[in-house]
Amino acid sequence: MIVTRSWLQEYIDLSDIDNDTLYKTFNSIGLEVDSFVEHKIPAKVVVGEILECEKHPDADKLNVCQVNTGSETVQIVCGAKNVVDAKYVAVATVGSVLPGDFKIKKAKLRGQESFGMICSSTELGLPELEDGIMILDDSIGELVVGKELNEYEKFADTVIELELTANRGDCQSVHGVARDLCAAFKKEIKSFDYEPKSKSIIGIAKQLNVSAKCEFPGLLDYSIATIEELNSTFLERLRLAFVDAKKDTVIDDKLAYATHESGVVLRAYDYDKLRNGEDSLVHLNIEKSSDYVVEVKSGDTTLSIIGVEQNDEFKADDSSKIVLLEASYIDPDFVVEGVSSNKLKSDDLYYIASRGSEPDVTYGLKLLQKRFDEASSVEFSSSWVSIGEPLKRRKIALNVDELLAVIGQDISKSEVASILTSLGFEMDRVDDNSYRVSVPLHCHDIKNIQDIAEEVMRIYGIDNIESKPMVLKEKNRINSTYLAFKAKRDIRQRASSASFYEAVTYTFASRELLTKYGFEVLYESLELLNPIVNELNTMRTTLLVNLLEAASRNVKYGKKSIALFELGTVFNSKREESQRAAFIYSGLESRASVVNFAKAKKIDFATFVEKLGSVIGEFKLESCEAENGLMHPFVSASIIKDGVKIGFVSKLHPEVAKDFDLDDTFIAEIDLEPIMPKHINAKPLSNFQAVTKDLSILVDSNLSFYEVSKALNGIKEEEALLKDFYPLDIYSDEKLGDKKSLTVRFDIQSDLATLSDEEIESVMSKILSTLEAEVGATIR
Amino acid sequence: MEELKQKIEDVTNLDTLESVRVEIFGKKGILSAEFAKLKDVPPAEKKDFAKGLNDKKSALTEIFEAKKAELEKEAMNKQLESEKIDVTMYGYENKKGSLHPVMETMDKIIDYFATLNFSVETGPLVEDDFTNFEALNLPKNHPAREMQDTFFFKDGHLLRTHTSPVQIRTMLKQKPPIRMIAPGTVFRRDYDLTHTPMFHQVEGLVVGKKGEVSFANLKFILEDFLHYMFGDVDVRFRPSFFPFTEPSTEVDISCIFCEGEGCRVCSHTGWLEVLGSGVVDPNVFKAVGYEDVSGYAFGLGVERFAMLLHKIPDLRSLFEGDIRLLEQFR
Repeated sequence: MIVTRSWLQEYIDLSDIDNDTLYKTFNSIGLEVDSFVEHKIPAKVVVGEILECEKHPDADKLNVCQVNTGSETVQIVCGAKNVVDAKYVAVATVGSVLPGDFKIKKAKLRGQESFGMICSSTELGLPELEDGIMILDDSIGELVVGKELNEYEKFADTVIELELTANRGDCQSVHGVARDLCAAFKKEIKSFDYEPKSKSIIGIAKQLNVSAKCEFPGLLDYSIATIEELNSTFLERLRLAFVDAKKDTVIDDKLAYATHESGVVLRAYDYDKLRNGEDSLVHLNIEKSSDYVVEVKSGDTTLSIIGVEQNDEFKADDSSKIVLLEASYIDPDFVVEGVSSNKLKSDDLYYIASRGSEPDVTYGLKLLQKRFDEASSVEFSSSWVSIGEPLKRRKIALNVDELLAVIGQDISKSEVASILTSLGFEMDRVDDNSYRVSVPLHCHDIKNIQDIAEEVMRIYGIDNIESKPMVLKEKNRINSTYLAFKAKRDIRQRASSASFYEAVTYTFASRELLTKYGFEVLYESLELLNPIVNELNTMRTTLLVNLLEAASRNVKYGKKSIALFELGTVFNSKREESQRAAFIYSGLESRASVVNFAKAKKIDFATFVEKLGSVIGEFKLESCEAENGLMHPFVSASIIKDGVKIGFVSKLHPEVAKDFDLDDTFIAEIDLEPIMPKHINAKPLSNFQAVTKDLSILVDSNLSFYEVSKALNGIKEEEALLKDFYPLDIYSDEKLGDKKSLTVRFDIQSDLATLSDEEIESVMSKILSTLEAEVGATIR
Repeated sequence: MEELKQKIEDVTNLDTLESVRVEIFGKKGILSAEFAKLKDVPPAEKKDFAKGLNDKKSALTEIFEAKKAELEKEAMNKQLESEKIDVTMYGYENKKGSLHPVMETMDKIIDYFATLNFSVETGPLVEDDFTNFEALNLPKNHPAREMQDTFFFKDGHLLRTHTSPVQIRTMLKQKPPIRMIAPGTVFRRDYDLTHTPMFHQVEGLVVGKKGEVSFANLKFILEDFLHYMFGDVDVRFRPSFFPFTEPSTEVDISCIFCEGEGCRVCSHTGWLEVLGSGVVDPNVFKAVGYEDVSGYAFGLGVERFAMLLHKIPDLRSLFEGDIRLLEQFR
């Protein structure tokens, strides 16, 4: 909603209120100021009177004017076509400086001297009004030749753009905004009434018959105007341009002006087009076409849908001789339901109607009559036609203590009453603490005590409400969700310490890409209905594709070493959510530098797995089949934790690496829940020295260490002395044929005593015999 | 004697010192030979002789120990010097990664409210119409419910457009009093320079007995929270409108870029909008079957907080895994 200071001034006396106060007050009463422009007209730009205007002898497009600028009459050459129609104009006299540091000097145009410039609106920094120069009239105040234009407050106006929230239908007009300001400044609103200059002697009943065929929550007022001449004033054009509502025709300008000022939905019909042949009486019917749609009809033809739109064919234009003026109101909830359930198309006025237009339709129609009378010659019908049951004010029982408890501030009862009265509420006192409040018609969304609390609070001023801490009497609220957040934070910290950067990518993915790389996708019936772009047309079932795309972007940015991780939600085909962690490491593990004697090192499987370990803790790898298209068939493994598969780690398939323009890359995706830090019970510590023993065995060359470890874990469970083991070395050559030599290191320790050689020997021989039996090992 | 003293003094390295020690103090050394003479000394002189010899030995020992200390120190210095490297060449290969600024900002927010005994609650990303809209008093024809703003699935479900449904889920599950925040991912169908189809919010809700929780309490906690997040800023409350709160307010802080003077970031207003908040609308309580309660709620966008706090210029860069951005947060 855009208003101007001088326009507001027509309803509220702002003479003692400066712009700064105005600006602050708007924000504090909930009308957020989007922009605030104080138009200043440069000095020495004055009202000029064109005394003579002749064609330039040597230039077709120029005119030579003799202009009275107050103190003198000067010659000015003007290029605007409409100068020939102009009497009073804005003249930038010699010595004035226009916006853009444009200095007006004495000039010669095609041999004719020119002392100044006749200005268009844009040359003075105002919005565009019309093609050519501004033609002034006394709608901005009495025109005094030579008077500086900056002194006309309707001209050098302040334009204020307010951001209205959806509940402020009552402020969709200059009048509504002024009404709210009056409450804030404790001022009386200036009342408005109007009697047309000229009224016909014939009653409207001879020209118009309207019958309501249904009940509807709204109002209609009609009047008829017979037009001899209709002109817009300069002020109408200027203000409509200020508020960005300028139309193309005079009649539309007048309608827009009256609607913007009053907030009433106003329309005009061409009366002659509604007449049936020579019949001078027009019959209109108000009918419901469906539950929430009310139409104005002439016979079978729909002229308009109330609050929604108007049939173009019967709209009045500048050639219309007799015009039927209509002011309408319809309940906003009703009209919104009608438009949305019937998918109706609507025009600009629907926006106003849907948020609650001004219900005082008579005021709107009178204001429109006043506009039609300005600078024009119009005769109005002597009476009106009004349709619709008078609207009833909503009544709310108000307990003041309850209202103050919502706000949390001790405001006196008289002040509460005075604020509400100033906003137009009627207060019937029930007892010391309660009122029966009747809500003004224009506040259609005020339905309960908290709505009223908001009205009191914004006028009382939020700044005046003292902040108060809440007294806590309750148990602590540390719950599992909070602990899970803490645990996730730990994992993220560890990942960043292990050189991964945290990425946040969209929970969306491309269905095509997921399918291409062999990941599951949502069942068709559960799929997104309205994706924003094709590349994000489904929910992700893996974090990795997004991370690969991020890695690929980093390659384009020139990064050689890319380590990313993400903790996030993924979906399965049934669209069930789960949390995962994914890791990607691409390119160099360390760049060439003095540290590695100028030899860069690429990331490899061993290093990647080691880094994973420092994030997710202890795990084992079990060789696996590639379960999706990203995995390398021979460099991939299931991650096993506490005997359960929790994810996979793999080299990125070289074909995929090529798709994403990546160097050697390793990936892992892991369920989040199993890697969350767990509660740990400490074991007793042994005070006796541990012994390290190495054992080299020969096994089949394609036997995985995982099989060996399974056998060894079996021993570990029975043999308390075997504390730990890990692969130390692996060796194969031609002599060994299809065998390989595997060296394993064992930690042996007793909790009870220092180990004897016999005890150690016994453990080692148990290990050897088990390995012989279970994996066919022989000693080397 | 002087000769022996000189001999020790003349030694220049620890190896020679050792052979000198053997020569003088060893079993077959000079001093042992002198002591051996004691048995031939007449008994009356024995005491003096022994004393003279012992004095001589301790004088020599003292010189020897001093020499030894001196030479050891010299040797250590030599070793130290031989280990010299150019330490300034190192420290260029830091391999630490970093946490995402949005996630870190979220952590910081959670910390504040957890300290004030707010529970942390979560909910699913895929929601139904009741929990995301209807229970929150969003009228059927509210623009937010239209296709252009919300991601819908073919089966009528939708991606939550705010974290507010977690309020509803928590209220349905628990009894008042409630004091919670809901951090999480949300989705809107918007994609341009200043909007991404996914972002993060933190929602807060406090519910107590009727008359127990007021707007003044909300004002207190949000002022304190914004000072915790942004330091010494001015906080401004403006009346506003949200379907699920009444009264509703938007909360601004004085612009942290220009300190309220007016700049491009704050559109020359001197203020930055950072929060939406209000007293919970009775219709919301009605939807979850609560009676005789009062409460407040607030919500904020984590990306906006992160961008303001760290002066990150481009929203979309936050979702690109761009290491050039992330490595600044190591």
